[in-house]
Amino acid sequence: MLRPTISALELPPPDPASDFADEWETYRSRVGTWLAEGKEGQFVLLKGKDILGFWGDFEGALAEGYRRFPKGPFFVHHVLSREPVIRIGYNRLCRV
Amino acid sequence: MKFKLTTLGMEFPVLIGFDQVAMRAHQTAGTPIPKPFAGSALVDTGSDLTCVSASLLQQIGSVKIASHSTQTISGRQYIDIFSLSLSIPSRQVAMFVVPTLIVMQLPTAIPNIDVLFGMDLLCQLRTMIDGPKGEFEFHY
Repeated sequence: MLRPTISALELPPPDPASDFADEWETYRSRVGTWLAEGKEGQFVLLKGKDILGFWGDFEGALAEGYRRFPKGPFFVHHVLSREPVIRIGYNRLCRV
Repeated sequence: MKFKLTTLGMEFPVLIGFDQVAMRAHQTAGTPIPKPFAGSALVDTGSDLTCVSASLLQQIGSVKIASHSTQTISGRQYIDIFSLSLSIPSRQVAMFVVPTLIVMQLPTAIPNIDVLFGMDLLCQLRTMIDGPKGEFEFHY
């Protein structure tokens, strides 16, 4: 399925109220370097501004997140040069 | 597996629980693993990812693993992301099981619906709608 994407270098700033504001800001500021280092396709685990590592699959990063922070939250993200735009459709409900 | 179309659309039962990785972590730690929760899902072809209601996520005790900027019809929103398992129970055929699934929290509650079944899962199934009979089927 083809989804619209945006460049990882054009990600919007995080919502300051988000639990993951630090993680998103860290991700946004570092993703260009990681892509240049060949980390595209890997999964990064972040907590606050700390980069805890990269894994080749989602489950690996998730397992390490659960191990370190059993009650969460922690931030796992797929490092991609083109970030998929996620849409939610149900909000188009009409009101009468 | 076959279901009746309802006034809401393609609605069917699902089971939502900890993802496989979390279950392993709980097993290793010797902590109890809660049973999956039953909910009602609605097919939403306009959603890229499957969404789960905040109340169900809270019941499960799921861990937040990311947030994502999301385009909704009412504009851009930040949505929390979780990892869960999802199953479609069936008496007719083997259960459809996704052991580790990335889901979004529903931005607004939908009456009587716990899960919006998005294109991420729909693309794993063959779906047939029989409008005149008021039925739909999933094959996998």
